[in-house]
Amino acid sequence: MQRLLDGTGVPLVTVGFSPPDAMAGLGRYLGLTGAVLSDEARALYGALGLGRAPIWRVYSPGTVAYYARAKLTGATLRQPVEDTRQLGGDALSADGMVRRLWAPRSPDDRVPAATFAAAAVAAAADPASL
Amino acid sequence: MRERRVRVPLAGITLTEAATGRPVDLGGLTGVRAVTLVRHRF
Repeated sequence: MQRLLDGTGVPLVTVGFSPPDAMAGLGRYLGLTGAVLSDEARALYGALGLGRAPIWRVYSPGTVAYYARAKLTGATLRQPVEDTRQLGGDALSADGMVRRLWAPRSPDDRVPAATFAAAAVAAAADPASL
Repeated sequence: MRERRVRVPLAGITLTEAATGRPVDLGGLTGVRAVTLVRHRF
């Protein structure tokens, strides 16, 4: 996502519910250049209606197959340390107001990064369209 | 995945800037921003 927005003039704001030090590490690891924010209380998640997925959606056959393939190819799988059911999401904001929201139904249901970045660039070019 | 046009004010939602620990009121975010909310870490 960051790479797709580089040079477009659209800042990327990354929010996670991990503690600040963990989010800072994630920001460094991913080379994020915009704001990286910790939302341990999940206030923004709640305001946007991004809830927790049912367990059968989190551990769908596709998800289990993904991790099985990863294991078979020698990947090191780590135990999650946080709520695996909390869904993420993507949004466009303008002047302190979220105007457009992509809310997934399951963890693997995120808007494609290229689609989201293109929408962000279009909105920046014509903010009134938001 | 549901894509919707919404109007959700960010004023009053205060998060913590990871690098500095400073509070950030999202209502102060000016211009168009792409906001991504991530899931859990491992």
